[in-house]
Amino acid sequence: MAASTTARGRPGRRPRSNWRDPWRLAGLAALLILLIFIVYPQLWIVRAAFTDDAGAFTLARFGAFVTDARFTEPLVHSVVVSLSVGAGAALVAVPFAFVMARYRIPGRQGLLTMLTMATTSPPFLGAYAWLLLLGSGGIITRAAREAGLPLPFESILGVGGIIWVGVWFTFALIFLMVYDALRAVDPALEEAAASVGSTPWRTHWRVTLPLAVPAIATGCYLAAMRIFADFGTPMLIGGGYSMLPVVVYQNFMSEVAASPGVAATASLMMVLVSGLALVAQRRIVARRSFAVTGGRDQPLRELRRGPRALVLIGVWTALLLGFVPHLVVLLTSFLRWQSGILQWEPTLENYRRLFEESLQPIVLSFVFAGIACLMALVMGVVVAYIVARKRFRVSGPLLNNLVMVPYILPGTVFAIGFILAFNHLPVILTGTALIIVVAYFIRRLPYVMKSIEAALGQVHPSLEEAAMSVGAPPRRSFRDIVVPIIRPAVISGGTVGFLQMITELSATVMLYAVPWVTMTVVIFTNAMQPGSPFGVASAMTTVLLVSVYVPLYLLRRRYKTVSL
Amino acid sequence: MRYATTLGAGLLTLALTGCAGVLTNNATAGQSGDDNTVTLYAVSGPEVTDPILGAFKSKHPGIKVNRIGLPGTGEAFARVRAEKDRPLGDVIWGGSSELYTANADLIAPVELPNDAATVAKDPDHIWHATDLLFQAIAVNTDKFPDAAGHPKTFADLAEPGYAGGKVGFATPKSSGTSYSLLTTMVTLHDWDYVDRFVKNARMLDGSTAMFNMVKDGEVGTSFINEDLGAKWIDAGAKIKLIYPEDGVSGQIGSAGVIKGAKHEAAAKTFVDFLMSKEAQQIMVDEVQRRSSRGDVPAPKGLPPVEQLKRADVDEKWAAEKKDEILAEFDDAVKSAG
Repeated sequence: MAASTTARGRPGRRPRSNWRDPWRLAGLAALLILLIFIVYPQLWIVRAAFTDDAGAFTLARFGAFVTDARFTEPLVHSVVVSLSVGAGAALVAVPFAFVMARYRIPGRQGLLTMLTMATTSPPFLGAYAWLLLLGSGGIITRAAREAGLPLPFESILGVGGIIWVGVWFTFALIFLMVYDALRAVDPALEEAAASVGSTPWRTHWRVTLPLAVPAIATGCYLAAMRIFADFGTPMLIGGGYSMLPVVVYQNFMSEVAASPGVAATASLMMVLVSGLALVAQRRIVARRSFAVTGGRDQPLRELRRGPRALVLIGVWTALLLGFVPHLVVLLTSFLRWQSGILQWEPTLENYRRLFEESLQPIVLSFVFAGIACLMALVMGVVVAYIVARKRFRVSGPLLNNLVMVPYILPGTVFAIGFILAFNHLPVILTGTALIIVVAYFIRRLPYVMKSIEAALGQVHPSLEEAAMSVGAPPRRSFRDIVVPIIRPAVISGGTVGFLQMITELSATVMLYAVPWVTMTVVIFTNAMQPGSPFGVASAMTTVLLVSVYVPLYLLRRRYKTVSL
Repeated sequence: MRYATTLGAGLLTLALTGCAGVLTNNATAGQSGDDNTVTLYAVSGPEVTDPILGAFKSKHPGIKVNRIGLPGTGEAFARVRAEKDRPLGDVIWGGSSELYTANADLIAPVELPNDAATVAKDPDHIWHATDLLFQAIAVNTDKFPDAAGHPKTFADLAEPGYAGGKVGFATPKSSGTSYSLLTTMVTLHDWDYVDRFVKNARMLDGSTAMFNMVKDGEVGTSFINEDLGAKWIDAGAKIKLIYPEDGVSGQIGSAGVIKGAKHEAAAKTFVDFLMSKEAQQIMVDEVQRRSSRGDVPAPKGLPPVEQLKRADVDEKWAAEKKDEILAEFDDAVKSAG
């Protein structure tokens, strides 16, 4: 049915059976996978949202989100905070991405690697780092108070803290996307602008920046959604500031009075809001301006000494702030913790205790995230290509929206759906390693897919059409035209996806079974209660970050020699 | 392109290793019936479970315990409920007895030899007492140094213009500890008291926040589980524990055998061991929690149970009228603004 609508929708095209288009089949296969692993497991949420406590159909739960302050307040809070974080992170990221993409900056490869690293925050302990520094009894707060320095706040707790932490843990995501986009801009366009007398600034504003708009929009969208769906930060830093993910989580998981109906409704509200955000993102990307027609690299320009020093200070400050959680975890892994309280005594005891136990979690984490990342790359390319290129009436928008659902659902809720769906015939996955792999793949697919989509948004379809017009079959034009251009995005999308998978915590904790213990499970186990041995968790986090960053660094070096 | 091939080949190798791993797991682990393993859903951290698991291992070397840590009792029961048709866990350990009673449909009623030795017994044999837990008022001595002004009772916390600033209080809808504190307040005083208390309270998202914020000095006063408070004082936290003189709230830490457990016999052995004198002595000496048995004295650092005036909360009322109690609390919060 979808095929015939599409055929009628394009009367001008030469008649060709849509089913011969390999993308049509690939799209249907992708849709099938998403139906099995996203829609089917999460249907229970829809069911719970539309039934009242007695089991009858109701719409009243949604009414409460418009009338009851207990729900409207978190809704408004969440939207405001997400928008602020998206805007704030873009303000930090876009100028830096622009400068780094255009000018010769000393240590650029190192900076790029570190920015990729900064897209991942240490799981679980990360948000606590800021509290340790800027909380009411925090290290910096106390030092400032003793030195008599006035601070604009008494404690980082509260809405300001959520936004602050959110900006620093999302700006690298926007940076990478915008940087990749700017690097891909054909220098001929800017040369053309200059040749007709445009000043450099005017060229930046009127030519370069608009070309990066798809990437900026997608980056902002991802950053805003990341904080919109984040449950840990408001829980830890919010100090009681109500936000939707907390409402969802508490109503699903409350030990006293869980109300799955309320939680399910709140989840659907989140999916709805994210759907609206997706529409906005799509509108911006759809008014896209294609930047890439050739494959020529941007030449890097020299920067005068003064501005260069300024840029370097700025970039390193942003990086430092982005790495605060990582540094605090690293530092505390070498300090003694007693019953969850930091003692300022250096020790290697945490590492000794960690290595006493099996090192299998390190291997398992890599295997799980590696397989899942490979799956996500294949799927991400297929879905992104269809969304960006093919005007499939039904499957296109459906794919685009479905892929984003796991991005919004809290990991724990997502995992409950998986257990409900795959703990009985015909498919039993619970208790196996496969369920973790599939969960990683589905849950982190949005990162991979969105970054490839942003890259495709820059490639003008005319390139492929040109290839096809001289007789290249679609497969060949895809391989020879599209693949080389989206390769940087595939690499950075895949890397970010992998980092997000290997640090996935909340779904893993609900799904894992012995012996499938990952590094994040070890971290969590040693930090789950206020009196837990946090030092061991810090040590495991450090090992996790190092074991991820070393291959990442090697990949970056290699990638530099091959592609840039 | 070469690096992509290498990367692809590497990942493929990983994939194959992974698949092989999955297959061997299913082949060797055995799906049902064997009584040499227990899958434990633990709600407490390793600081609580590990010493006791160590003792179990030396006493029952034939039974392997697969410990799965879960973030909280709510999450643990959510997982057990989702797995109801094909249970993957055998024992759930941690959290208070009311939560087990509320989820009784997921737990197998089993009578165990050591049940009789515990001071708190479940006539339905759903929960089995593993420890006793009381809450103290915690005061941050940095934030609130004036010892003369420190509260002595629940009543003090509701005084208008209470000197200790805001009192951290987790929302009782999500925290079992807070719910227990709330029912204690209503039992000792009345709903007017709650109205006044809420005006002094700063509402927090969960009990962990309630404990941490007084330790970190974000609030001057809050409530805390006594064992954690005592350990934190040991570790140098600037807090002071005060057992309210008008009555102390408390819970029975519990464990239960999951209904339909694949390894029921081993699960029973394990839960029974948790209540044995040997395990309870470790609970007191190493974990520093109160024993559920009458014949094991309180850990050092905690006052003997006889010194505490325990609030006489009607558990049946607290369990059955939960929705009404929570709704009334919501109203109190709303009217406090």
